[in-house]
Amino acid sequence: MNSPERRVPWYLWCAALAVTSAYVGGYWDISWHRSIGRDSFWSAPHIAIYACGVLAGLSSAYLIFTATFGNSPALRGSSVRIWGLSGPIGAFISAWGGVAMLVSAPFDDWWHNAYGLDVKIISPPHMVLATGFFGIEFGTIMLILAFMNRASDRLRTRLQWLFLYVGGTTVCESLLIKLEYISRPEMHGALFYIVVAIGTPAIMVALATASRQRWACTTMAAVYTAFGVGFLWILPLFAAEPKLGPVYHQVTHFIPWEFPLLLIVPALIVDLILQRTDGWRPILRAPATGAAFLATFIIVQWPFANFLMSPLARNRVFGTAYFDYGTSARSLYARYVFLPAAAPAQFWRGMLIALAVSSLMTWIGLRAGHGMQRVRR
Amino acid sequence: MRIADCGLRTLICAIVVFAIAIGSVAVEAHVGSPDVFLDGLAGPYRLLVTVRPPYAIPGVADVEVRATTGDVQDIRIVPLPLTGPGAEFAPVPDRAARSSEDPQLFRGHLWMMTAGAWQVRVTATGERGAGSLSVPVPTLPQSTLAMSAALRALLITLMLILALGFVAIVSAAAREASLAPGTAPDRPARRRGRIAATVAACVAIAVVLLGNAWWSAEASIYARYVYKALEATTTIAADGRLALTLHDPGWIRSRRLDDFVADHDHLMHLFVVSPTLDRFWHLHPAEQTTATFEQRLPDMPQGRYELFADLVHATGVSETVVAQFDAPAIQGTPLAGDDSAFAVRLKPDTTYEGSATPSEVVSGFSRTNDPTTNIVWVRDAKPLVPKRLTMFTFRVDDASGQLATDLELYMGMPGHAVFVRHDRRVFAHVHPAGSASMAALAIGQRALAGAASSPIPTDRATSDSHAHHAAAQPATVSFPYGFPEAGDYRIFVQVKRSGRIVTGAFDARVDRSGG
Repeated sequence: MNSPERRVPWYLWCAALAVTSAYVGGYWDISWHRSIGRDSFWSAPHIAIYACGVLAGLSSAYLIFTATFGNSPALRGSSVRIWGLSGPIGAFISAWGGVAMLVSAPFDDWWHNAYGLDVKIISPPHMVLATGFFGIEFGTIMLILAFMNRASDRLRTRLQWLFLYVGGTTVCESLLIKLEYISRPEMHGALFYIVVAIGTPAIMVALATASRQRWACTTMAAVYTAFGVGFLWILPLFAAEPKLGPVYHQVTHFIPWEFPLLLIVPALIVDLILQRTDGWRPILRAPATGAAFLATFIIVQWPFANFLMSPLARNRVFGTAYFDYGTSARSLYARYVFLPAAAPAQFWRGMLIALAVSSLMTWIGLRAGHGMQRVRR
Repeated sequence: MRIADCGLRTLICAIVVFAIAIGSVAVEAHVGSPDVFLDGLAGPYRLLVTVRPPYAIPGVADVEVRATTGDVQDIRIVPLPLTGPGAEFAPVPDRAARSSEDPQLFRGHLWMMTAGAWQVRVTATGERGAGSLSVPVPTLPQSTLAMSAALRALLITLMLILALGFVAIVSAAAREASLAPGTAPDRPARRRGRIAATVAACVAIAVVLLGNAWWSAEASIYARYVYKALEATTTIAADGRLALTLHDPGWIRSRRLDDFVADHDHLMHLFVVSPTLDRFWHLHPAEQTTATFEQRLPDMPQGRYELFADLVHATGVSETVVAQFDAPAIQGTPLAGDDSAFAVRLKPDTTYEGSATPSEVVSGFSRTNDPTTNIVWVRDAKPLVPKRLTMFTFRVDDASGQLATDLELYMGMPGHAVFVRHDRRVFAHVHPAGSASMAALAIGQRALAGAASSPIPTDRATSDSHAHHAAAQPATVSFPYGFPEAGDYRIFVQVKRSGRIVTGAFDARVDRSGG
């Protein structure tokens, strides 16, 4: 029987399950709105989202109450104190995320009554909800990180994998809230690359640096790809019919999102660069890594977008024949057409912004990652 | 004094006399009366349908369907656009729930997702098979909802908790998260925590301010989406020509000013009333150029008038334009065609049937000044209350008090009713088929597959059924309608007898309590 130090504690599994549930629920909910349209408070995706709050709340509450009122000097000694309570910093962050999710509920309900049901992802109440998600996500990362940074080698390796898995779901979540800006017709525009560069390199580099794992970015990108491909291939197996109009496409099954972005290639390159530039100053390391991330991503995603627009991709594997019920047959999306190209000067200005954003995000990731390496509580 | 009598006609005719008014804002098709009422056939079943559109779009519409017979077993309702590609595929219909108190009443709720011309398709199933009915429903966002004080207090409290929690967590993270287990924070660590708390507080304040700005921007975007009625400028020439120029104050881009379609024979139905509602004209201006309509006015005394102009777009969206104008005394052109006029002659020759008080009734006659017609409001003793579908039934008697036998269709229908609240903030032009425009009804009907059912009962007629003009119509005409709010209303009822347009007027008090 393993000693407690050699086992991954149940509350870490619980927290990891919480973020998985949030992502699965969020993706499923978007698919639900693209296939069925109308939902209820108790729809299956919503329950998966609520389960995130329950599971995260369970693990956080256990840790905070045990550390504050229990008889575990070890746990109390590895806690921070907030408002008279003790617990790992990750538990407090997760609890904060849960409260933010709760706040979003009456706000979102009022928003629907005041302005009508919002049919877009990025709205103020949805962003409060997303902040709650990311609070739980970040709290889970910090929770695992504190244990990982204190753990022995064997447990540390296991926690590294759990940490990178949760990191992968963070990449998934960060791209999920940006779906409206990264769809197929956008893939030849500078805005697409700017939007992808916002957040993604920062998350990957920060967590890779914090984990000290050689192939951390690749692992997280693989998690993102596996989830994306899994949803793409599994969701259409289940029947669904629209319950809202206008209906422009007959839908008979769940409509998934598109084939995942080819992030795994730039992630691999970033891993290789990070391995070889460990001694570099961040001011040099960040632009080099950020530029490599962006350049590699453009090199693979640009031609892949051409492929996705072609008839060759209209199959179950690449899924470009799927249209939600609300997609007009006259839309660019349904006609497999890219958005009109911007003027060259505008395009290149946008690409320079993407480069700057990617470099800045990488620098933030490096700084944050080094700080996270020191987290013990 | 008429212009012709004053000796200055030549001079005055040389000058165009302007009476200009900018149309005030109407709030939807009709004015202040957004609910849709329909009396129609779904196959063999006659249904009375009420649709209450949501005030915010996308939002939920309430639907009530009353079957007039007891053999309807199931009612399904589904929303879809009235025209365009979205009208081709319907989402899965919802089953309307049968009322436990009234087995012939079914209720349901439907999401209306975009602004514009929608329809609620009602399918009734029973012992005599199945049939469908299309109910046109304009979905026009009305306003935004103000936040209640209680909710505001709750959200501010929760926001403060979140902000303070954020500051506390950031501070604790900077102070203690990096310390070795069991180590108490030293002075540099505590200082680090205080600095982090200050920075976090600044970030929290910035996020709240930016969030507020974003919220305001979103609200502003929605405010532009809220329905804005067409506006009108009126001018009256000295020879009595009324020109009505429409302006679009800016709403959804799909609204146009060059796509009006005829609604029971006319592009525009213009109702002119005096402030006291003792004078009433139902006119039909012709479109001269895009968005400009012209009407030769009949004789009108000098005064201020209010006009309500009903128009239907090709999309099926109907709108009522509201404007006021000051008119000089006009010696105008005799009424012709379908145009009609009415002036109150306080003559108690039109009476309630039932327990209502006869003195509440006014009656009058059209240009024929027909002394041979009496219109009787056939009603029970039930008080009129807001938001309840009511069948307003009127019987037309001849001079001898017998049922009139010479009624004809008037613009394709057995009758027209106009409901106006005395403050003129509620206006509705209703037909026996209901409050939807006949043009929109026709569009919805064409879209119904099979066309086995009719939106209008067989003893009624559609706007294009003028072939029936010669056939005698029943002496009783009913209008399904529900008052939107309490108040004092005047109801103008128009029928046609042997080529003469007859108008009756009735007063109705609607109490909120029903008392």
